[in-house]
Amino acid sequence: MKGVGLGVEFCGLRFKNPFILAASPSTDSKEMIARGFEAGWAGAVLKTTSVESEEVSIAYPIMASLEPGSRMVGLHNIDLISERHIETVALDVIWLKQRFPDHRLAMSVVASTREEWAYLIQRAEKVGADLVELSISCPQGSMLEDEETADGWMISQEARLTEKVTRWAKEAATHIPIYVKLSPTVTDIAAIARAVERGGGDGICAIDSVEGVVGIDPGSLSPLPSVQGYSSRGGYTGRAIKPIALRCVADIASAVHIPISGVGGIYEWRDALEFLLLGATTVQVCTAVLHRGFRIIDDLCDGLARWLVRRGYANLGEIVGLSLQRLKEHDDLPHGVMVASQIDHDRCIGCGSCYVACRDGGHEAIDFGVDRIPIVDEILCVGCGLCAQICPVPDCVSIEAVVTSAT
Amino acid sequence: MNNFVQPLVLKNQGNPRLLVDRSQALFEARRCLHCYEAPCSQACPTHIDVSRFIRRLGEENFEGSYQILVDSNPFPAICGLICPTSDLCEGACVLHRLGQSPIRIGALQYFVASNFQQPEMIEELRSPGQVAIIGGGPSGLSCAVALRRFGHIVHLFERASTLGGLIDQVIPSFRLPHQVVNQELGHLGQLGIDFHLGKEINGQGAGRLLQEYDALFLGIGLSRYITLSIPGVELPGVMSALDFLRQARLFTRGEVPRPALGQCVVVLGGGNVAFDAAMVVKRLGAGRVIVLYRRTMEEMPAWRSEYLEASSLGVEFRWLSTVKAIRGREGRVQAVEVQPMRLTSVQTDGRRGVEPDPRASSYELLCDGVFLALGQALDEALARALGLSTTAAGMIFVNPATFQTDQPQIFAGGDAVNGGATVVHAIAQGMVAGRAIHHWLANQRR
Repeated sequence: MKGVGLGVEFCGLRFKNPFILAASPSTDSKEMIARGFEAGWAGAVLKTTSVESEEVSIAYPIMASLEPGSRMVGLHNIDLISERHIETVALDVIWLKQRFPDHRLAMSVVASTREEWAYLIQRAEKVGADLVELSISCPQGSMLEDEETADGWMISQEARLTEKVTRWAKEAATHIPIYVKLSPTVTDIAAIARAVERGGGDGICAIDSVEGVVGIDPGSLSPLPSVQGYSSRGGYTGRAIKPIALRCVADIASAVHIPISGVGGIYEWRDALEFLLLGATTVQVCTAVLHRGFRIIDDLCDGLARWLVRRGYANLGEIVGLSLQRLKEHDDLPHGVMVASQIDHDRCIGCGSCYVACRDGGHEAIDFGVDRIPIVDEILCVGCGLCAQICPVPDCVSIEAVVTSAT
Repeated sequence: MNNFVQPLVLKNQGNPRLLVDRSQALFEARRCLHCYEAPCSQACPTHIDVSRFIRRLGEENFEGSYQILVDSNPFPAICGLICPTSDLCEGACVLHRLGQSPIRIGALQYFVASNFQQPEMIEELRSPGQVAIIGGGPSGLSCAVALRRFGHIVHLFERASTLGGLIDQVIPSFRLPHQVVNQELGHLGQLGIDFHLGKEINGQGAGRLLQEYDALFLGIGLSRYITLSIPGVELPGVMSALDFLRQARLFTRGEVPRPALGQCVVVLGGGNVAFDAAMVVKRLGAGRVIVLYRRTMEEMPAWRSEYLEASSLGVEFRWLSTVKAIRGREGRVQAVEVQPMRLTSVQTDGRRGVEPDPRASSYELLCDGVFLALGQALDEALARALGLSTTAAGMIFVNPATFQTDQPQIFAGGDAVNGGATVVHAIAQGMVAGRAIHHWLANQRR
């Protein structure tokens, strides 16, 4: 799209568009990242790595999902960090930066001690990585022993540890920007974000995968994915976690002044737009790439650019955070406007789904006779909107303000 | 025995209904909208709870899904294959109105029923009724199943040496493979019905059954063929389409030699029997098959799906055509003389009448075989002996809610009542009658 800029700035660095490949199997080889860059991705976070002494032993299979297939709800993994350690990944960075000097490369690192953190960050800086992402929130790792309580914590679940690790990293770095990836499974993500800011972090990435158990095979009784009849808690990603991610990004954007890279369930340009509108300046994509491949970048950019043109924006920076002010406390919502369900009887196919939903989960406000035409009782209907969500027909049910005729 | 031609009908043609495997079935099940008081269930003569069987299928509760099917219809695999679903459940599917193809209910039903058959549980009654059933076709068998599920004692009398009636003897095997019939009819063995095969019941015998049993159900079908009184109808090469279908069925089972086929067969009639016979003779190798029907496509009683299928097989049609005479040579059919017809006003049965078209002259159509599919009529002897009233159309008169005749002890269903509909209609009537008999028996004892 001509005449509109998708370029953005994050942690003081220019990105040609806001789309970054998240740390994942997609970014665990230089050849794959090279293909991603050639396809049009502006940046990539190499799969998380650590020091040579860190043992990484992955038990396969690592993938399972809710509703496998084309309309997958969410993908789940019990993957670990890269089996390739810092020195190998560093060689990839050198190789990639030679070939793609204008693309942005972040190294995602995790460590157990201050010395290790420092070493990893210095290596990243030395080999020419553009940024470092601190991986302190992966459900399968990112543990640190609290010196005071001697408990093992996922770092990003503890504000004090988050601040400490961020500060260690910043002190080790001379110029490379450090941003921190946060977990959604915390009581108050704003508090953790403030800890990153206090520690000197240059930015925040949210959210990491959501720790979960994706399902159990009723035959073997094994949780999924089944590794010889057993599994472990894993990281849930994809479409299902987008609402959680959006809320977290909004919370963080309201709490801190450092930039945010939004991640969690972005499949198409409209998803990305939502993250930007709630305050993210870049977005990261993993599951959709695992699902559909690097090629989706064209559609992400095209959809976003056309929307900007349609709405009269010249560049992406203008829209960051625009919806944030519309996310209010419930008490501050406009109360008292009467709304009710309106059913387009020309579109209605007579399935009766709205009737059942309203009868058993709404306000018994829809009548459904032998003619199979649902009729809304405007007195009983409060406009809860359940029917509009249940209806299988696009644009058939809407929630409209009730127009009371003057008597 | 080995010189019999292999049943090429099944082998080469397969089944016309596109079937589903497990993963396809699960995928298809997820498309269902689970309508309230679903139109598909309402369109099903046996009122299968389609939404529920599909929901259980989608949840991989296959046995539970099968239970839903047999609760309403004891022959779900057979119906899954042969029901004219595009005119029944699938035709009613609301997805049509979303511009989508309907849920493939027939294929899903066949998948569940053919793979997940479950044993029947019968609770015996302390003082069961004794019911006699005449006729082992779809309605009689269904009535027997319904009564056995209530725990009554059921004796079923069938003239033929096998059960099933049309299911077993007439329906073409390309549509309904023998093994499906065997599996589902074989399932009846565990129900504890007393079958009396090869036992024809005449008027006198039926009277005796009335004395010995608490109630009687007639599922006697239509055994009298309607024929034509035209010159040449007695020629070899002229036969009833039903008899041809019977022979073809036996042939594909390897029980009789290949039926003698003409190179060019004319089929007279516009019902499903005419279309089935036309398709089977075409599949068995007849060069040319022409269906003559005296009205138009609009009036024909055959299911639209049958017509489309026959057309795609290359069967030809001539509307507004009847046969005035059959010409023979050296004792064989050589041609039919076709009389063009024209439509007249609407008759009492709601269809338009026909009369010979005075502007068109008759012509000869060369052929060496003629199948008559002009419909069947009730053999009234039994009904008369039992003192039953019949309708204007010559069928047994019943209360449509209970299938009770005007003799309270006698119930009837199937083709002998409805004049010849589908297997699923006969099944539905047998089931309703069975329940009605149960309630009637209970009331009698009060």
